[in-house]
Amino acid sequence: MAGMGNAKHLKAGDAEPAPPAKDVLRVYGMKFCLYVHRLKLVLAAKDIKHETVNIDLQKKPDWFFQKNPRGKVPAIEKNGETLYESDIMSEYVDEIYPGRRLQTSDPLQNAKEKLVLGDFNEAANKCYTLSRENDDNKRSALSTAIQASLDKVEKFLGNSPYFSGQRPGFTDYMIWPHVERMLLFNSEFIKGNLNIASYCDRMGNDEAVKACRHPADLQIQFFESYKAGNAIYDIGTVE
Amino acid sequence: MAGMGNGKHLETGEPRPSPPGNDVLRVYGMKFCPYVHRLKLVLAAKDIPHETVNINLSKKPEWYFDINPLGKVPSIEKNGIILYESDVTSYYVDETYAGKKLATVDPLKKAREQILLGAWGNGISGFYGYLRSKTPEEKDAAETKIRAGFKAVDDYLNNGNQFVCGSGPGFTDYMIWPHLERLALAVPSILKEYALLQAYFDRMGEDKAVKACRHVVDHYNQFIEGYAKGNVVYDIGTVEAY
Ligand SMILES: N[C@@H](CCC(=O)N[C@@H](CS)C(=O)NCC(=O)O)C(=O)O
Ligand SMILES: N[C@@H](CCC(=O)N[C@@H](CS)C(=O)NCC(=O)O)C(=O)O
Repeated sequence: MAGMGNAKHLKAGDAEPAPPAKDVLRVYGMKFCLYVHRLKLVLAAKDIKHETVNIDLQKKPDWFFQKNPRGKVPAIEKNGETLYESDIMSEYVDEIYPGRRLQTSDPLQNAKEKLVLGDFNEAANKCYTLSRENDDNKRSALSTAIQASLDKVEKFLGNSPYFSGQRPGFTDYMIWPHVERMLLFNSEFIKGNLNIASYCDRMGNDEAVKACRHPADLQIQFFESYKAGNAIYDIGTVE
Repeated sequence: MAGMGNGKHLETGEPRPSPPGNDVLRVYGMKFCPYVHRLKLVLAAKDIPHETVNINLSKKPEWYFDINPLGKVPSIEKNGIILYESDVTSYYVDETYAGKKLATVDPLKKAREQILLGAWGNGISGFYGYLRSKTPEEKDAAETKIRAGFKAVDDYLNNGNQFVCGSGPGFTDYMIWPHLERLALAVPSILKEYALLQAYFDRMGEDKAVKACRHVVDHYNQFIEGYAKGNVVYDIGTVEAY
């Protein structure tokens, strides 16, 4: 689990770590955050060295707001510059570090990937709503809306093995954290869509995906504690 | 007003126009939509010829969902390719047409502009909140959001730059402008509280693309009045048959 970082989650009262050394990239993260997961996949796919400082999001240290005024993870810090928002930072690191460029350069393919990412985000966000909804009518309306978005995704994957084409690329790594959680918590939506299901099998063999994957029981343990309103961050190995 | 297109807004029951000619870019729009406005600014700034088909959003023609399953404007169509979402379509035309590239290339600057655009989302949601507000509390809440959006841009301009994208208007400026233009009409006194933003607003007003797409204030007010009453009138000002 090196991928997501095992450092203890720092909380209010814990001292601010010294700034990262020259040219060192630091990620402010949380071990189970799907947005951090996006960035970590991009870092793993490009083999970008970095250190991780984890943040307790229920008891955020004051100094964290200097890294990200919105108080969210992920954030990055390097040579005095800080950035936040998972998609924006992931593009940034893809652009400034050498190695295989993960973003699609063809303008039309790139535009289509952005639209399908929008469709998947829509479905995933509704899955989170669904996990908290008890009213049967609302649940069934949500399920219909989720399937409608996934229909578009399913069609997209009918034409290429990965969202980014013949190899996993930027859009795959933006979508995968949602998929991985859907596999655990809303697997009916994956099983019912054959192209998405076989996509999951293919992605499961990707080195970056493997490096960042939590054992299922850890992820479930975290989600249960989160849903109960008392998220436990330091689960599994803690350094 | 050539910029935003004067075509009659097509509605339910009206036939789908035949596809655009070879290599012709078509925009599906609505004359007063700020998101269409974004794309139109990019097209105007790069002088990209195109035709416009306007859509009546209260009575959408059935076929419009074949073009954009979300049923929103703008969408574009060219040589059988269909795309939608203002940012995606604007970026696509910026990349595929000749002329000065409007999007910022430097990775760090680009990232900062994208973060700013996210923060500007407060201004945008404040704008809609303001239009819909029925109670003083709702109006206050909307104004708080508008101020947060204004402050974000004002802070960003505090680096000596004349425009968000640097020394001239660029992609991000054109993404911000449509809602800023509307907010300047809705809450001019709040805009005045932010000196750098007010100066930026005036400067942007001189830009050729901004001028080409700007509404006659009267028409715009007429549109907003209909919108507020829940009875939107789309065909205001010059109307040309499609
Ligand atoms: N839009 C942000 C979302 C990040 C986000 O919501 N992260 C969550 C943890 S998974 C967080 O930091 N929550 C703390 C909070 O909102 O206060 C991104 O893409 O980076
Ligand atoms: N995210 C879209 C938003 C576009 C949008 O909301 N357009 C409005 C008109 S200003 C619309 O089409 N509304 C019709 C609807 O939502 O049904 C974009 O950026 O293009």
